[in-house]
Amino acid sequence: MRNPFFEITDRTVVFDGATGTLLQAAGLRPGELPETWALTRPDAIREVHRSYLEAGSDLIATDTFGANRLKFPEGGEFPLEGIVRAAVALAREEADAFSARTGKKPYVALDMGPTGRLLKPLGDLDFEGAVSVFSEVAKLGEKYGVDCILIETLNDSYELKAAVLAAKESTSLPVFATCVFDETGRLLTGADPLTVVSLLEGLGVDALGVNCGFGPDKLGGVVDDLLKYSSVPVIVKPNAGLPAVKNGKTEYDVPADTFAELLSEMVKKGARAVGGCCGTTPEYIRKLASAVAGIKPVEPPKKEYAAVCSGVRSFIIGSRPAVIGERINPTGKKKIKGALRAENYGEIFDEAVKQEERGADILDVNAGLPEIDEPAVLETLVTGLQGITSLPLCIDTSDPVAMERALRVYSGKALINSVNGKDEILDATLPLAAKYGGVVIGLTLDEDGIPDEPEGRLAIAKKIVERAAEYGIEKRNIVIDPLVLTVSADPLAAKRTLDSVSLIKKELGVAVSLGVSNVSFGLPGRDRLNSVFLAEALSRGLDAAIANPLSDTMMGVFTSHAALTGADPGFARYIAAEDGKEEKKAAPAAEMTLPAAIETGLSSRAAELTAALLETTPPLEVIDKYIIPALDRVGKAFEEKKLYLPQLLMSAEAAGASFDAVKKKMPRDAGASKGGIVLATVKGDIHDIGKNIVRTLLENFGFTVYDLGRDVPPERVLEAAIRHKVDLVGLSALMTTTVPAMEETIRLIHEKAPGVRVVVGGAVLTREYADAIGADKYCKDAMQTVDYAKEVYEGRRI
Amino acid sequence: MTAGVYEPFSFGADEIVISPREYMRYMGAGTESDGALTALIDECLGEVKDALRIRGVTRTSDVETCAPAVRFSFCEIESRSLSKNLSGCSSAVLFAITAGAGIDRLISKYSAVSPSRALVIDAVASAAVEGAANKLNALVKERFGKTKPRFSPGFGDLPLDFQRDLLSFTDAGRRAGVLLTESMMLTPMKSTTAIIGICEEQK
Repeated sequence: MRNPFFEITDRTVVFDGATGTLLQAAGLRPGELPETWALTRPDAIREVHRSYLEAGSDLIATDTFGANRLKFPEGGEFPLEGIVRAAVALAREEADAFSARTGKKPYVALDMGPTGRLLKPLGDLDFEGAVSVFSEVAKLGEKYGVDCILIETLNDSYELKAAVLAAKESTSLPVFATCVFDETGRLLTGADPLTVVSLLEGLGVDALGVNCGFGPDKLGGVVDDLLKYSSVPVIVKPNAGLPAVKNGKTEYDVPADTFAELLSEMVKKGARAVGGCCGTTPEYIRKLASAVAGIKPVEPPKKEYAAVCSGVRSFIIGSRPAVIGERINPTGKKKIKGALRAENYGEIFDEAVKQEERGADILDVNAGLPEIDEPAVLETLVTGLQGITSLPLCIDTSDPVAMERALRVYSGKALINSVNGKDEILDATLPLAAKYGGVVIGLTLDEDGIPDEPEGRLAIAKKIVERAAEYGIEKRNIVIDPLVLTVSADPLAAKRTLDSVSLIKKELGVAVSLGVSNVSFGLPGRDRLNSVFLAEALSRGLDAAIANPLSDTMMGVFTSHAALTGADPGFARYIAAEDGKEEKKAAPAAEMTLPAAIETGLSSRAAELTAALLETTPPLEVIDKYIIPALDRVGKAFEEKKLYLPQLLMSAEAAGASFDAVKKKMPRDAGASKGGIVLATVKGDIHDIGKNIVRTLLENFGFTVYDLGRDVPPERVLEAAIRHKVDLVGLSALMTTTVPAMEETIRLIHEKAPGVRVVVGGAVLTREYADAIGADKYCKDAMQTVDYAKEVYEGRRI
Repeated sequence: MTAGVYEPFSFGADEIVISPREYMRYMGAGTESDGALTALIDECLGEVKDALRIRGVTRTSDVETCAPAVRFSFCEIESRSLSKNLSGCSSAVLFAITAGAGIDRLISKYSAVSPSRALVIDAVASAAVEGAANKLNALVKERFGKTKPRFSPGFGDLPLDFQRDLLSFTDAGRRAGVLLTESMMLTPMKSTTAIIGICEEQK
């Protein structure tokens, strides 16, 4: 184990150039896997390493870019371990020989490229699957004696996390990671440089940077941003520009001299390591090494900011007071409790989107219900939410097992809610923050409870910061919550909290956050009390508040405060928020009946009209006389081809909005479900638009739907069918390649849950095809599925 | 046989035509939309255009057809329909193109909260990919002259498995972020690949 950034401090570290480019020149055919050459053409690989060492590379990367189990499966022509062993040996032998000749001691890095598959939910590879693919290679690299690991050419932040986590937890080697940024300055899956830096520093990489993509002529902005945000050394390994064929020869458009010159400029700004990717050759590296030789390296200054991020975007703590949306929490919320118990997460996703639309900066996620398997549910929830919202998440649990599972699968750097001054809690949670990264919320309470006086709370805050430092967690990654108690129980409670905010900010210089709503508990006019308290706290420098983004009053305090303190340039956020309100009020009150609103598919109008109707009409009558007949007319018109799928769905959603309004007025559980249906897109299939349409219709025709999502293994469908005691399962498949999975699912259900019927649909299916794979029913569209569900349940019950 | 170099490209949302005929067909909406649907489509068009990040990569290969086989510089494949499509061609442009991961995220988001919006966005995004492929096709024509209709894996008897060879040849994962799932689906979902034969006499 050796880290060039520790040993080479008086000059720039020079990595090597392209391997593929040289191997192609040596006869590598298109489509041929370059890693196999470690076994079949070892001399060519040796030549690559030798020529880069002689050109001035301090570090050479092994020929293992694509060496992983997915590309070299067990039992295939080339054994994975054999490739890694041979590739490491070739690099090591060349490095040693070079060392014997020159006295220099070059580094050998295990090269790890992407898996070649996209991770869930965008693709079909499990996060843990990706971790284990990378772990296997990383362990082999360590076993055969590399000095460090170079993860490169990743263009998805989630896969990047899997690779770094794998390398860190399965070896003790230094880990460097570089990604592909495009000319817009983002990874292909969307992350910007700040997000990449936050994620990677959180995971504890030893250096980070950019490689491939474009030439150095187009990467200046990205490198500037990496240098601006990173506290660890920055690596720059661009392509030699873009290729073109000239006179039958491939040439890249950034020549070696220009390449060296452009990279020297980046070194002057602070890049600590340089090298080349596609199109670069030993000539490029030679010119580069000599160009940077005389430039004194700049140590990356430690940065003072802290950011949380999702896989796509970041929020810098303290950049403006953050609204941490509090609504995904079962405490006191019947709807969320029900959704968690039934594992029906649609309601929760809905809350996430609403909070995002109303201006939340971060979303708190809490699944703490005594009767559920919190670690499993929290993991599922975090995985699901990161596909729905790009806001950073705040993981809120007191169970360290649940916390670890959530932090592990989270595609970003989370806000960790929370630790407190109790040693037991600190010892359980701080190691997780150290391993996975995160900004930790520390509550000022300990074994003796919450101190009354601000000084006591400051003392606990200090302890938290000190204990965190023992785990290598910097102060900038701590947010202190001095806790809000209810004023109705103690009239001085609010004042003490506010004084604590001031004191802790002044004495400790950390960011401070509060959960505000608690202050008004037990008093009328809570929204007003909360908002005045929030305004007071903001004026004392509060950095974040856990609050309800759906409250106009609360959000008004945030936007007004920013507008009044010069924190909202051009009043952009303030005006945008106020414009939204005006529009809502100004909506024309044209004459329209509820059935007409449903039939035209106007959801918000349908909800308003329902609420108005409920003033004079009993809930059940609203359903039977207005909603159901309207929905039936729409269904019939669809079957008669008088209207089409989008209108049908819009009407179903409008009916859904109407039902929601009715439910608020109904005694609980009146209007019972017509029956339960498990829905899934089969294993291997990631297209679920059709299944979602079926779900919407079924729900609005009164059925309870257990939607298992997409790419669902047969066993999970069976398990859900049994657990929820349904009579009907609906399966969807889009492509012929996944129909076998559908057939297997049907077979399993018929075998293990006889009596449960299976209805199938999807682009490739026909009635004949459905019969051939043993389905009980084929439905060509969502309306037919509703009719069949009615037949199954009404037929059986009569 | 020789192969050209990979050429990555990107298009802005306003450089492509998103055909209303196409998206109306994809969403199963008949030919005319009424007021509420028109308003929804307008909103969705805006959201899709904001989320689009069209990227792709092309690479040319020599081609020999000897029905039912087609020989490329990187592999040989049996397909009568492709062989017919490429007859008279001695080279072809292969490409992969995607609307980007942001579109997939937009669709998942609305799948959870508003399936009608998800349906419309899905359809508009598919039309956008089609529009991007049309634009690329036009550029290929401009550069090489007369071309054959573009042909994708899964058309006729060209096996879906050919995606693997095509993506590997164009290095589409690295250059454009287009990858395959185990069951041969392209990811991001709104992506497409094709082969455009270049007619001999024009070369």
